[in-house]
Amino acid sequence: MSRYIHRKAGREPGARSGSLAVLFILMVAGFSILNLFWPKREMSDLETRKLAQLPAPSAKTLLDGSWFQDFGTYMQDQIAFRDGWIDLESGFNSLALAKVEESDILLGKDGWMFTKLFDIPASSQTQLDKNLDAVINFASRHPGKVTFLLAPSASVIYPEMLPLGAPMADENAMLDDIFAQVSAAADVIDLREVFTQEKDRYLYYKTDHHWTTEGAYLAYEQFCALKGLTPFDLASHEAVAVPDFYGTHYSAARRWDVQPDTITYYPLDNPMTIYDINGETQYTERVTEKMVNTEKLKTRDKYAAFLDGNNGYSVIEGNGEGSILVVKDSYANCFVPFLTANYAKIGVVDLRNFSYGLDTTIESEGYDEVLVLYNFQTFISDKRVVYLDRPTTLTTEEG
Amino acid sequence: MLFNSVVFLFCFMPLALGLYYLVPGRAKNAVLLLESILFYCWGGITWLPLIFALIAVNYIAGLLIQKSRAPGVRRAALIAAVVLSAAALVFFKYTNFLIDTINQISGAGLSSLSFLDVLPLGISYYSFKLISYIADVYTHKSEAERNPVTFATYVILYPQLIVGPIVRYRELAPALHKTSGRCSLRMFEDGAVMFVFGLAKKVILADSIGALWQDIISATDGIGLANASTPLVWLGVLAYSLQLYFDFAGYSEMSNGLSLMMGFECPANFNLPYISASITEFWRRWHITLSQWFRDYIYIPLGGNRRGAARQILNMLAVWALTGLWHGANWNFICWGLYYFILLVIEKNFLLKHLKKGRIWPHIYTLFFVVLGWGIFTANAAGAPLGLLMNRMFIPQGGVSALYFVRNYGVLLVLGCLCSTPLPSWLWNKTKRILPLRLVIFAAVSVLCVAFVVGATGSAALYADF
Repeated sequence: MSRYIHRKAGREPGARSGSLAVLFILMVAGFSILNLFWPKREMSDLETRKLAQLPAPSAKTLLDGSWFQDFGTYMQDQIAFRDGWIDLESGFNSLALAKVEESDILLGKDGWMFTKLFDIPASSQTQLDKNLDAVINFASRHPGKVTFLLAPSASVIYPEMLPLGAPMADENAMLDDIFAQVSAAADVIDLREVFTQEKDRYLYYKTDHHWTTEGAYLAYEQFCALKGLTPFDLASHEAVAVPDFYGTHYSAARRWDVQPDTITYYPLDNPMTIYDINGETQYTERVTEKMVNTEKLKTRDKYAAFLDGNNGYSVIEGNGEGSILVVKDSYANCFVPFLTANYAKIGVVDLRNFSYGLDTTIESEGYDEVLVLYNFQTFISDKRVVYLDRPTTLTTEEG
Repeated sequence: MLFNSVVFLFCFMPLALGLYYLVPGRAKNAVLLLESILFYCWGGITWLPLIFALIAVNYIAGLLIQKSRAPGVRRAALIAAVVLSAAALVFFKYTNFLIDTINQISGAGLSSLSFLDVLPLGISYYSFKLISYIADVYTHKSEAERNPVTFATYVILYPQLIVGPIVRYRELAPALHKTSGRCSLRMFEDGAVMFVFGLAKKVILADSIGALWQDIISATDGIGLANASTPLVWLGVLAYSLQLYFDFAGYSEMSNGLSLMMGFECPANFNLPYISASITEFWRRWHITLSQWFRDYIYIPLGGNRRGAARQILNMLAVWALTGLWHGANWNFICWGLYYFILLVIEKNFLLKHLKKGRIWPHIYTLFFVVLGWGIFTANAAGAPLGLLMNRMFIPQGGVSALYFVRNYGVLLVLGCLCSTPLPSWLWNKTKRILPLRLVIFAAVSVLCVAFVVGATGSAALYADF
């Protein structure tokens, strides 16, 4: 009714009521005030990173503008409902804009998420060549001792779960080439065939870039077959399942229709000693504990429970015979516990926290065998793999 | 400080606007000047003396020109002011480019000046504002400003500091001199709406669509231009064209919206350029304040079209070479300017009359050359050398297929194309009589913008580099 009356009067009803202005002021001022009093956080669990804190001003930082920059980052990091805003953005991108990618994570079918790896940049290619040389040289110095296990990415085993037409880099061809080169110097374990055969099993997390304990066990079985070992008996151990694991892919992409993963572990009593590294072959005990730090299973970063994270050097007492040194990235963390069935001593080195060549440690600690275990994505980009080939610093001192 | 940042939206803007409204009319300009200086200092104070020196020179020159009856003095003041403003721009923007060019030609091996690596904030825009002011005073189109605070406020005005638009002094002077009733609820409301829709263009459309082109050319995680199939390269350049438009138009609307909220009506900088039916029309709709500046302060002073066809072509050449160069100290920008010179000369001399008769094909023709133009424009970016780009675009070849990118960006691209037409403003006008719907749309767009501002790591305006 009123519409017609207004139209006859030739006015524009509603449009100039000032309600939009009031709404704008309420939104901006209201949220600014709320934001001011909103509790500030040290760290974001969900993003697994430290958040910027209020910077302390100084004459220098005020004049060169860096205080203002830091203050801007602080406002950005500490905004009220930060997690909610990011979820809203991600949800809008998926639902309204039908995007299948968020923060360099591909949102695949059936809840799968994959690292976006469309191209191997030239820098990675160079690094890969260096890393390969290091492994080959290392293996040549220890003939017959070294096994090289390179885990493929989930996208190689489950390509059908990728978003339509995703132009992934040709990891298969690169793996072929890597195994061909390394097999001249060491035993290699290529998991692609068996993983593809067994793909109906739960081999990789959907929300995280790691393989599952089941995937690691399947890889471990291949290792045992190669070495002629009897695998760890799953039937005589009871697995503990920890639900609601939201991994690194989820942290980055914040998929609205996420399917949380379940982490499984086998409680074992074998002691693991984590060492502080004081110098080449000089280790002092930091802590001795079980291989799975169950405290970390209660946090968001659940995968870090295995081997209590990526420590430089740890030694585990096993129930078998002989000794093995595992040189690894985090993929090995849920794999290593199974080795307790076969070896008496298992050394674990993560070169990202270990700055020396390994030859002297192998000699002084008397390791019979070496397993080099990485996943493809770390191996092509990690700058510390080359430490395998680092010359010892000890000979010069002795000479 | 970017408009699309949390610190601007929820700290600087509410405080700055609030203070501006609270103080009495006479103090508004001084407060605005202080706020603008603070805004400027966000990037460091290194070049603050430069902007003040140029303001002082132009302020004094303006008064001299106004007061003096002697043509010699007037002319000298004009030349001194214009030369100093232009010299500052040329020195800071082009010295290293010149050194590189000299080195390439002569192999002299001069070292470039590292303190020129970062351009003084906003110099491309405020030097043009200054030149327009002094030229307008000289040609009696505008009175000289007597109050130094008012003049400095016009030059540093924070909404226009980073990416323009290049608003002339005479367009802002009436509002700057109003000591009462400068702001109104109507202006505030229109300004707020303009600001929010501009923000949406920047953070929802431009940044998301621009990711497609980065997927192709980025050195870290792009597939590499050399690996892309011809359809994908076209899709990429199309996405880049949309990104550039929404980025710049969105930022201009935010700027004009802020100005309007403070009582300054500024001319629109963009008017749906991608619906143009000729290149001539395109340049009347794209970066309007820049085209006008070149028309008024280069083309017409050179004689425009009044001195015969040959001279007109020469004048156009000067304008377009300078337009290209203004966008950056690089050969691709000069090529891009000359490319438009050639297209415009062709249109002026015979094509325009045919274009006027067509209905569909002039639009296709315009879009084709504009998109191709952006290909040339972006050819200084790492990963997109011009030769390779042209090869990939015009020699049909295989490579990474466009399928995934159509799947991932399809909705965004369609939305981008629709938002390049009059459709959104037509729809918004349709809701005029349904106030609740307006409020819901406005609130939803605002909330979404904040989500995108928080979700993104904050990307700079593309045009801030020019």
